[in-house]
Amino acid sequence: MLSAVTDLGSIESTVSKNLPVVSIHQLGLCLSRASASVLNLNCSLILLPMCRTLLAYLRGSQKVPSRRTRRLLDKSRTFHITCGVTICIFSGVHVAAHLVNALNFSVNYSEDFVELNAARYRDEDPRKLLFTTVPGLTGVCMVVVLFLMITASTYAIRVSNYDIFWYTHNLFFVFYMLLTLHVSGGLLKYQTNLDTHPPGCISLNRTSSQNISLPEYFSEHFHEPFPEGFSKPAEFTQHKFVKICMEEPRFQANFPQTWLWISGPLCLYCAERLYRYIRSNKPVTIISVISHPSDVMEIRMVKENFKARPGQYITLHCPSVSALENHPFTLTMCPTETKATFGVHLKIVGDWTERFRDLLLPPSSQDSEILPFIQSRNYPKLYIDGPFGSPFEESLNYEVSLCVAGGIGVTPFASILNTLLDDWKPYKLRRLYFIWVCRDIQSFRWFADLLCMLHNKFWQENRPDYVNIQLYLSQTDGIQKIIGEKYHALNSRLFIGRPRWKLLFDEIAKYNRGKTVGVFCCGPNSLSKTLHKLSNQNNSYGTRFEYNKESFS
Amino acid sequence: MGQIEWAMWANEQALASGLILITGGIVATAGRFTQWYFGAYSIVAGVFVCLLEYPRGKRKKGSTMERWGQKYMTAVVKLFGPFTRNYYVRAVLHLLLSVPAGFLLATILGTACLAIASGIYLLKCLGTLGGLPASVGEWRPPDGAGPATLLGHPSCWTSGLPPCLPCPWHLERRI
Repeated sequence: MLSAVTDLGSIESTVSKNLPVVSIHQLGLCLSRASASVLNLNCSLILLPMCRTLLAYLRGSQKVPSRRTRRLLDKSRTFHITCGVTICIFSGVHVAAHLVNALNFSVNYSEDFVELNAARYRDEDPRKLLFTTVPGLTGVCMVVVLFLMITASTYAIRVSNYDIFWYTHNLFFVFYMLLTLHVSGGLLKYQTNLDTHPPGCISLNRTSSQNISLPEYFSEHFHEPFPEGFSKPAEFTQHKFVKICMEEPRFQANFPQTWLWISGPLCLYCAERLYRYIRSNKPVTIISVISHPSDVMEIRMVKENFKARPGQYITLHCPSVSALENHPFTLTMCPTETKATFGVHLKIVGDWTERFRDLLLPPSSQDSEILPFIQSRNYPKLYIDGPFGSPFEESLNYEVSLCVAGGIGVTPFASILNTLLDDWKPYKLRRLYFIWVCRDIQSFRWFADLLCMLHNKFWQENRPDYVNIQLYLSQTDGIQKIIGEKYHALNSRLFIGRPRWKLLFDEIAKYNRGKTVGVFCCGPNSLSKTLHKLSNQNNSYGTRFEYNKESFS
Repeated sequence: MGQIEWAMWANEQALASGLILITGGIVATAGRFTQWYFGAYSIVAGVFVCLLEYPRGKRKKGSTMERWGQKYMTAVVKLFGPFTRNYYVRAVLHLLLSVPAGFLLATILGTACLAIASGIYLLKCLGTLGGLPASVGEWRPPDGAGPATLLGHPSCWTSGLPPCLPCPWHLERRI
């Protein structure tokens, strides 16, 4: 908005300085130029949040020490959407203003300054102006592309038909190419010889050809009586308020500023895509595929030079399943210095995951229990891209963290727990509250081993308060259930029913007075909203709860 | 690629085209373009298209996200019966509505956008098996039970299974 206002102000003054007295149009030009400058800014900024590798690097690097700055990176998708909406609104203003301009160019065609006109003759049909000039045609095409992109980017479409959104959004490249052509039309010009032909100067040649006598001309334009005592017109050049033109005005097209605005981010984004393409070109080696209850499959793999921090996610691409689709999955196990294996847990719902499962696990073995199924032959080729950052990485950087998982939303926390199992001392985290809510008791078996091992480890190391686990079974048919006979630690921490969040928050506040507790939630929106609201409420113990929000579709 | 529901996208496009037609019409009538009466037509056509497309149709599978206040428009649109339910009729209607607006510069973009929406509806119709006319699912009458269910929660939420997201990034997507 600021850029529009300042630009409008500067353009008004420039326009009145540079355009001749017989002006072709004023308001339409100002509006279109101002909205163009807003569009310049937004078109350049919108690409930056999409450089996900760069953002992941910034999140993990030492150069961003402040947690507040890192939390800004969590909002990158929201920023992208805001820029998109702004582009949409100001494109509307820009197009409307230019439509009025087109009309004015043809109606107020000025014979005096032929070069400044976009129209070729008076009353040229504005539609011809639109479709036969480079800026006009590219502008129309850009509006159509923008229309397709924006209608496919609404929340409803993204959630129900992500493919439409993804494929149309890739038209952005066409949009940028059209934009570079759009500004090369050279429609706006500035005068190059302001010193020899200042605005408002009188051209003597013209007045004689128009058969207007000099005194009448002056009285018309200057509303002053013809000064007495001036016999020769040449003496006017020494007079202060009137100037004689030495030569005809010369105009030159402005350098397209847009190229300067968009070249940087576009090159950065293209470089990032190229880097990601090269990095993901080598397929991973699948070590094992494990079938878990409740339609969950775990894949363990290795890849050369793959490093990831706990909480990050990768995208999987399997050409045998679908040539074009990429799907993101959070890492449940990250590679460490001693072990290069990393893994993801996938829930099988939807056609891509079903086909993927059928390729990896033959149908006969899908009903079997959690036995590791080692079958190193005939796995399809799998490519991964990433790792990309997410707010869950921050949970290790708080002294006290509260992690709440709903169902399969436990996956980002699983990598955190795996990391703590490996070595907890290097991190700032000193107490972790882990709450996992599921509807089916079998789901807890996905990570029951991990939780038990973690619990035992901290008991052995005499840090029993490091991890506080609570498992909730939100729906039950009344029959007494346990997770499994060997999971004593978990059975004693299993509760039936939904958690009472207010009481939990109060208890955590009481036992961590004055500290800042990081709250992380991965689950349905309603859960997320409840926790967000509770985190923002004050409590009597002076404990601050900072809610870290992941932005989903 | 899986199942793509074109009708939902066409619905969004038609709604946006209606708004573009209204805007173009306002610019044309306010700017007193020659043949400005096309601009006035464009405003009326835009309003009509917006009202027609405001109720979001029921999806083939999965839950439908209703727009705010949709049930009032639904009652009106249902009065027209099969004319509004059938996608062929909608496609042709949009195409015819878009033509007059194409004569004026200010509204020509609205024409292009509405024509694209009409094309997508046609694509949807031609894609159905046996060439039978596809029809918008029955709009449920307002049942007074409150706002619609949260969008896009896969049916596993109601069937007692845990939330079925492979990854938090696309929490409500079925992939």
